[in-house]
Amino acid sequence: MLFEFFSICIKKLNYMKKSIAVLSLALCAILIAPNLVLGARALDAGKLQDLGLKMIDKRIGVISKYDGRLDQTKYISQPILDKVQGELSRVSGDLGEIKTEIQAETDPEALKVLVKSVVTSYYVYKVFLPQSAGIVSLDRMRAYEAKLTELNSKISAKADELEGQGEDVSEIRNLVSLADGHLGTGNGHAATAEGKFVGMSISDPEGAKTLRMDGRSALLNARKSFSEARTNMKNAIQAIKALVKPGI
Amino acid sequence: MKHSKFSAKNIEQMLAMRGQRLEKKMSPVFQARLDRKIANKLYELRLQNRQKYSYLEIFSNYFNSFVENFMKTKSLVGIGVGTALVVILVLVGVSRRSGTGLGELDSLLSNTDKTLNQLEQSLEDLDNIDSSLDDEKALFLAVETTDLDALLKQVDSAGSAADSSISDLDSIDDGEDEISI
Repeated sequence: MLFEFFSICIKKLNYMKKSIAVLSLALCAILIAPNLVLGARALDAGKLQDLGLKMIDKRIGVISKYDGRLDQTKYISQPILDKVQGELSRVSGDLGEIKTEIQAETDPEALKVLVKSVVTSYYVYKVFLPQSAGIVSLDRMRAYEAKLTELNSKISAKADELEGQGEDVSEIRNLVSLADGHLGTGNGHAATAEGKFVGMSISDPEGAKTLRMDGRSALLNARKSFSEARTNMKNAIQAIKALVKPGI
Repeated sequence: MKHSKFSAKNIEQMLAMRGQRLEKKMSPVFQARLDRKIANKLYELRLQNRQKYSYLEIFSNYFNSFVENFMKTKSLVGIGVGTALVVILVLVGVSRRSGTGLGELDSLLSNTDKTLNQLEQSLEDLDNIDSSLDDEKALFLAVETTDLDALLKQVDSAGSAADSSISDLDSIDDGEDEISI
């Protein structure tokens, strides 16, 4: 609009004296400029508030949803559950406080700082939630490992009993040994995953992204080793059944 | 004193003949006892014959008179009754021996049957015990296997939980808001 206005003015210069035109332009500049500057500042504050509130609500919503899922989660240790849910609650509370500050703030510069802090102080998506999920996933993987270890111990004890009754349990012992080896390997991968997830930090969000992927790969490797251990144990159980009830 | 017309030798022969007749139907025990009595009697007779022949004469006379008296009476009834008594006695003895033997055999057979029954029962009991032991063993081990199966189910459940956690991790979008302010 301003450009059109100036164009019209220039065209009119052909018909009017330069003095009148210059006076008109100066008058317009004096009348319009302050309104434009003030209007822009008022618009920026509102947009920043809206932007900041939306960002916070979105993050609090995702955290709350994940928190709710953890309540339904099985095979997670209470210390890890307490720790992760405590962090979720803390971050959610902090974001709520920032939300209140944004709602009360009118200074665009202050709002800019507040809105930026929603991202940079927590990196909810890039660091915080992946780290929490990684720690939970690792804990559940270790619960799986613990169950496998318990099963292997029982199988080994059963082999002792059968051997005491004069049965040949060499095959069972071999499978138990193989399972033990896979459990050890899986445990090593789990330890690697733990190091990756614990190493994730908001001070290095890009590095955290790499650590997340590395931790995930280590978890998958652990899962693979544990699955192989499980296969050995299942075969050992079949071998026990064959000794107990030949032909079945 | 009237001397007997039978000498000790004659008496011995007569007793021997009589003994031979009785031997056929006598039990070995009775025969042994008889032989022993005869031997004793002969020894006694010989002794008497050597030292006191009069005893032999008395015995011979007594025996002779008995025979003579017996022959005089010619009592067929007496002979018949005597023979019958002897036969009855012999038969009773044999019968008793046979009866005793049969009883013993029956007892032995009974005992044998009992023993066989006991053996069969023992074998049956042994089979039952083996069967019971097998059942007990199978039951005992089946319980243990059930425990293992139950634990394996828990393992699989924990494995599924671990898988879902990895899915949770993957589902988190790491895209932060781009703020150009």
